[in-house]
Amino acid sequence: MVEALGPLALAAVLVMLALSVRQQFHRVERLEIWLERLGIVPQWKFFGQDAVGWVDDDSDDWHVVARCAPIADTDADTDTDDDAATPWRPVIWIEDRRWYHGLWNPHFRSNVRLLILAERLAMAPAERRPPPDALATLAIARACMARLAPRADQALQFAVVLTIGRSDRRLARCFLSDWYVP
Amino acid sequence: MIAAPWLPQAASLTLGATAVLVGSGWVADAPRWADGGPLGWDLHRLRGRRLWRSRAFAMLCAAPGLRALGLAQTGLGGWLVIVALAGAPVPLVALAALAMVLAAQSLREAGNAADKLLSIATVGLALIALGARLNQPLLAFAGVAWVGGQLVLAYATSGLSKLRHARWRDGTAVRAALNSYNYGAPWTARLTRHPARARLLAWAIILPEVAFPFALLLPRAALMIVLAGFLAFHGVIARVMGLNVYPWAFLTAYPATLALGAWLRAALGLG
Repeated sequence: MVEALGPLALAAVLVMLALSVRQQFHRVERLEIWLERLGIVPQWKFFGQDAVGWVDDDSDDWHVVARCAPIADTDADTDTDDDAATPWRPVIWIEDRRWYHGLWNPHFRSNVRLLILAERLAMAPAERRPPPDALATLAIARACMARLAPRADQALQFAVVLTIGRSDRRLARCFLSDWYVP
Repeated sequence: MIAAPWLPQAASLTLGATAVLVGSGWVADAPRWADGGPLGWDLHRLRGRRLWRSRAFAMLCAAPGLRALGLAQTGLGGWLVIVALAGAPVPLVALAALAMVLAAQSLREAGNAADKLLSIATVGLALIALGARLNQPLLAFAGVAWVGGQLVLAYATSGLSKLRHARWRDGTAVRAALNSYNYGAPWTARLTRHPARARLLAWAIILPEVAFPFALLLPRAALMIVLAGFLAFHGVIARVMGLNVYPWAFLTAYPATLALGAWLRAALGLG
């Protein structure tokens, strides 16, 4: 009985390895997503694969900024007069990493998740109202609320902005949210 | 050779250290995943799947559950490290528990490549340890083949997929990425300012990755040097891109890869 374990395990491993090779070259189907997530039949996505979608926008840095304004001034329009609102403040702002982030960087996972959500909003057609991804909107709005802590009489608005490269850090606004109250 | 004493110990040490790092990261990051927070389960469960709204899932996937899983991962990793340092047999129960923790975490959040490598190394070490305990070399070899095979596949796929892109081949992709804040640093931007240097760097990444499967045929000392080079590469990426777990995660696969290389050379009569 015990003697059979070795050949069985080896056969299973070889099948999984063969499936893993196949996995690198085709789109992951619904059932396979779970095999992929669990590392049973992994797809190795590093820089360069088509599925990552990375090579076309590789010097883009996405950021999230937010501002507050009195609720009374934010009734009608998302583009409230700048005089009524506070200056934009960074909520998720990509800067050079510190040396210790190479050793200890516990927020990397959540930062990546939030930036994926922000990018999803920014990529949506600008004319679509309300925003196409309500959960992404809520998640980013919560992050902004936590950072800016608006007063009870204030509303909060966020924007997803883009910079390209290091030489030119001009901000391109790609998504502007509605005004939200705490 | 496959069940050499150093193999389970080295694998246990690297796996344990990585589990400690990943687990403590989850614990530190748990507040962001709390209900009411930007990544709270109360938002995530709105995606509507019935199973996700169950109490069991909520317990597992909300911040207290994630924190508990992170603590368990840290503890199990510490156990594996201590066992390896003491030279004691690898505790299979710790590996089974670690595999369950990793699976539970992946239910909440799709794992990155480091998480997948951790799962693969856990299963591989379990097979190696079980094979050693039951005196079944083929079982141990299955673990070696699983981990080493996946590492070879990971590097080779990564290299080949870059090779397919003209922007990688001419250095444009690496130059653009290393000029960003997210993927680069001031010194990497300077390094790749000249197109020729960027192209050289791109090929310095692509070629070793593509050629990695052949490194298994090298003598043990040479293979160790190759793996040390890859580890240094992951270290630089960790520093520049903040991917601090990746060097450790790849390191978990190196002991089995060394054993796989030794087996391959013996099988081919290369000494």
